[in-house]
Amino acid sequence: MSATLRACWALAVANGRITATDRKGRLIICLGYLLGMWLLYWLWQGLYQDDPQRAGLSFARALLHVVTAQTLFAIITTGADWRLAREIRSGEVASQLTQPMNLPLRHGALSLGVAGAKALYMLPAFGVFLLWSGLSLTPASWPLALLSVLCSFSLLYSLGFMVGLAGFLATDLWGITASKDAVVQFLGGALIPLAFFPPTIQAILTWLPFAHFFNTPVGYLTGELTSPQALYLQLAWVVVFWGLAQLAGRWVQRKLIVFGA
Amino acid sequence: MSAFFTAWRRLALADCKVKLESRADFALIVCGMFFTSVSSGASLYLMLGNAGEIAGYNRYELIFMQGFMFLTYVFESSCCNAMYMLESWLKNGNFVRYYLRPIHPLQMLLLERFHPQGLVVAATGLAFMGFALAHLPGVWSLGFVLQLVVLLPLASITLNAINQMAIASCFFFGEYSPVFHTVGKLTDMSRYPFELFPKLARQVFMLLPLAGIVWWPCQVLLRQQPIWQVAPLMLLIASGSVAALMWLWRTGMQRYAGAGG
Repeated sequence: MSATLRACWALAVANGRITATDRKGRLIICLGYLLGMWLLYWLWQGLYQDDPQRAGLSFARALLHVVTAQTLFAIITTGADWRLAREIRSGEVASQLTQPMNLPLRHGALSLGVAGAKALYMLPAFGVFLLWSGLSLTPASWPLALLSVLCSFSLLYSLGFMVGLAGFLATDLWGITASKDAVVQFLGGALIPLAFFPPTIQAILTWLPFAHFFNTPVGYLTGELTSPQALYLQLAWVVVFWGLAQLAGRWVQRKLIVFGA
Repeated sequence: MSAFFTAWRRLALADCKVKLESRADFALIVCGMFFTSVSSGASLYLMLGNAGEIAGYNRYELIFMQGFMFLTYVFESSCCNAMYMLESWLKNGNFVRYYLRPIHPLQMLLLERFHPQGLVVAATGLAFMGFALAHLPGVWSLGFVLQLVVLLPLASITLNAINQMAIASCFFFGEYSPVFHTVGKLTDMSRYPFELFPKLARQVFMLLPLAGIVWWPCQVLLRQQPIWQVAPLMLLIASGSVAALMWLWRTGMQRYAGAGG
């Protein structure tokens, strides 16, 4: 077990270092991120110009929700789906399977490295934007909020891993990854807060995994959520998604045929 | 030129045949377009709530602008999919063949690949515009169609030139994704009314060719601005964008030192 954890750590650190290598790229990404947040600020300000309260949220609360969710999306989207599909199509996955490490765990470690590296250079940019816009994160409990962010990463990664397995079915992965990103962002509350949805749909989304991709961690980070009830539900979905990813991984290994080196 | 179009027609037919043979691929592409367009349209619909206005534009005008944006993307989506390969061709040396063939490099890019995904994008754009026009009395007329026919290709050329310039950044930075994502945030926001932004930002957007994608055409199509004022400006924006793109490619190709292939 400790050997597996050490291997995971080594993979995460190595992939994180690769992600963080390109200094010019990081700088441009941070500037692009700040530009995107600035544009969102004006879009939401325009929306609130005639009405200071919409869907029970003030401008500041709605904007804080959206920018936090978008930042979370930018950090925890790690390209696990594309990486796995590429490995399947090139046959590289065969050599990964010879290593004494579970496939979903291996990709999970690589994704954690990417997310960690992205957090290192994007969180300061997020801080700059919060400072400029006069917003701040006020979680009731930082440990709950961070645990919820970790669960959100696990959910998104597991889904990405399962989507990556579509590399077996399709040669063009754009359709399925675009569908996944659109659905989790829209129904997860990253594009607009779930408070803007009709109450019945909000209630359904809270029980389904969707709200736990972004709405739950953002709720803890912004102080909208204080009780651990939503986190318990999120943890339950993490267990379900992780189990499904393991099952899907095993099923694929039984089907896999690779020719050549 | 006729040789080019013969080659292009053959390639488009062959690519369509291959893509449509793989039903899983085509079904996933349709799903991708469906979910991305529905999520962006539904977000807008829910954001606007009962008041239904941003910066003086009502819900249906905004949906029209989204539909127009989709239609401007059709050309790029169908014919320029190979641009995403530029980075790997530069890295693996395959780009060298661009220097050896007696054809303009941008024309050759169009010859590389045809993607029927563009047809789905066109259907989505038309559906958005049709839905909006059904709720905008007095907009639809023969004059409207003629104006659309003049303005849409110019907007499409502008959007494509902007995106290809972002992709061409890999000549200089090695990777296109940082610049492409940053530019994507700007082009994404160009489907909203520029009246949302502060005056200085609006003037900067006007100087950049961004206003030529949706804002200027919609001033004619929705706000009865005379086309004789806007069309020459759009022509100037589109030709300026193409000239800048060609200059960027020429500079990039002069700078490129490839090996292998």
